[in-house]
Amino acid sequence: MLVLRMTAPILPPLRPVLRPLVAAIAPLADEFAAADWAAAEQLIEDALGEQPAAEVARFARFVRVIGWLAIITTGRSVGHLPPARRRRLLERLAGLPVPPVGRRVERLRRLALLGVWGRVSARTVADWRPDPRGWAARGPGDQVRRTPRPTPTALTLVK
Amino acid sequence: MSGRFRYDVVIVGAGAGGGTVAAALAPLARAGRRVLLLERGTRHAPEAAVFDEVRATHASYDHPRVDDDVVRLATGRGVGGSTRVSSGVIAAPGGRSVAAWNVPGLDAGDLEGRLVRLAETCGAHFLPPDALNENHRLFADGAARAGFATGAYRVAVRGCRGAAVCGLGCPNDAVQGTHRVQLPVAEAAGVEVITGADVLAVRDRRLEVRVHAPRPGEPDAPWAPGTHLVEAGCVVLAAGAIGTPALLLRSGLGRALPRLGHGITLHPTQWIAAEHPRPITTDVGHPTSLVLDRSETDGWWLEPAFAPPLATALHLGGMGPRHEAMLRAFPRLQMLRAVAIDRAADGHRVTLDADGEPLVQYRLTPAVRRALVQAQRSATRLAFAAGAVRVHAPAAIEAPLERRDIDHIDARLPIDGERLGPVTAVHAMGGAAMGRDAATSVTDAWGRVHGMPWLRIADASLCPDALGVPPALMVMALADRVAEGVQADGGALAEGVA
Repeated sequence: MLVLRMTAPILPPLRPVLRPLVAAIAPLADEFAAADWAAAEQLIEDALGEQPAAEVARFARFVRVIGWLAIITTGRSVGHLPPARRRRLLERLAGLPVPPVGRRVERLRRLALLGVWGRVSARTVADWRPDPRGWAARGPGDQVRRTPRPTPTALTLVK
Repeated sequence: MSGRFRYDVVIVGAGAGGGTVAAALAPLARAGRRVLLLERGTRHAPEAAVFDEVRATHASYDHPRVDDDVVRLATGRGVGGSTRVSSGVIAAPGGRSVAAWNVPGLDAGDLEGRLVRLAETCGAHFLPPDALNENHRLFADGAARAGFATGAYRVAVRGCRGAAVCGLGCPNDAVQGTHRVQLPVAEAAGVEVITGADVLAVRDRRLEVRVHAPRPGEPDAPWAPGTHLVEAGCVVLAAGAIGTPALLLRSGLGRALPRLGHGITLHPTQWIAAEHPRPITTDVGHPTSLVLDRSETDGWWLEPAFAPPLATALHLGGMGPRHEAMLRAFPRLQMLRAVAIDRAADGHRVTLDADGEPLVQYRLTPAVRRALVQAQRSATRLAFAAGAVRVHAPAAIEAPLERRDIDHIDARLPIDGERLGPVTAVHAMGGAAMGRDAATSVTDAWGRVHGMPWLRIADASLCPDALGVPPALMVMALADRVAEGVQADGGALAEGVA
């Protein structure tokens, strides 16, 4: 069910930790201009906006905990760690024998990917060229490849 | 209450089950009986905006919570339900499935006739070979070289141009879901369809219905926003394997029906992406019409499939440069989907959370984990045999697998490994199963809820156990039987609302 909450944006106070984590998960974010970050954060905000308030609070708490963990274990803030070390931190958390922590990392991963790859402009990075005309929108090269060679086993079993 | 209405029959849900019941009850509507269908989602218009993955997914799916997030579950929302956002695969289960259900009064021969008729009604057919994309050719060729036999699905599509985004809603409305086939018949006969209508509770032939104000861009709701009371001679629930048990639990029927919510199955699914040295046509053409079927022997099947970039990013697991390199190889990806056939288990059930929303209690059993890894191993062999240079399998240790790993696929994909990767599901079944009595089931073989002859169920929740195929056609067949029972009880309906 859609739960709309009329509250202040969740992400601004989390940015110093969250943005470096997003970029560690999806390196494309390293190339982001301000408008890209705005689009990505809007997608994440919208997704969080549909979560129960308690779940959002847990998410915010988890991001802050990662920020403190980085400082405690490395002496540096998340933003000052190289991306590989940020990822290693997340992977270590995911590998802990405490399933809820692993699930938190997975939720963070999903939100980061949603923000980065959910933007309509991201499809150009993936070179995805969707078109409602389907085959008709493709060039002659694709049209040729449309016709398969005979595949003798392809139609032998009917489910 | 804003309004009070009275109908002979009220159907809840406009997907495979509800749409089929509505069409089958068209003669009742033509005969002057008042038949109403309530759908909580909207009536989607085909549009190019489906290519906005986030927006289209948000508009077309609910994501019921699964405890511990072990599976990311999606159920179709809106007129047509999951049949609108599917690739239109029409697959009949083997007779063994129905026999194994062991439901007294459920005759496999009776179902067979309905499966055949409903498949014809939907226009199910085999795609001609020249309509298949390279993802299919690689699937068939790779399977043949790796020693696997493949089969073909019939698909219910008409005017398919190959936009490939069936899972987001076809921009050409080619998929022949209930929104295209059954519901137009029903509405032409006088069945009323109210969208944006959330059924909060159903008790003693009365439904409490909350109608939502339309979201921006949605058509106006036929009923005013607010809460309405609807009285009915007969209520047919077809809100799906999650929605129907949740509604009945919310209505306080859990005590009278001790099996309510139990025995849910999900068809846990994982995706595999294989990189080829050159671009291939995976993202154009119908996405799924072949199958490598191991359902009877090993509890899984594999099929070619297509997921847009965001879904691919989420389905494949991992993060960082390797993960991104896979996404940047998007035009070169062969994509496959592995589906495990899970068995109804006691601890797997639909419950309610503190807010009254469905919460699915579910664990991936060792048998399902084994099936998913075996399917990934087969997919990896198939893809390398088809010429892939690299395979991204979610359970792989240190993914991706390279060609040099061909002789070590089993070691790289250990059956009992800790890592499994993201699991999704779109085929929820069970939760209000047919059976002998209230101690062991929720309904009889005609979808009549035990002890409540005015209340029927006509959706995937009727399945006592998982099928070995996508369930849409079987759901339609079961719903067709339920509708026949409702028609047979036509006289009693009038008494119900008198």
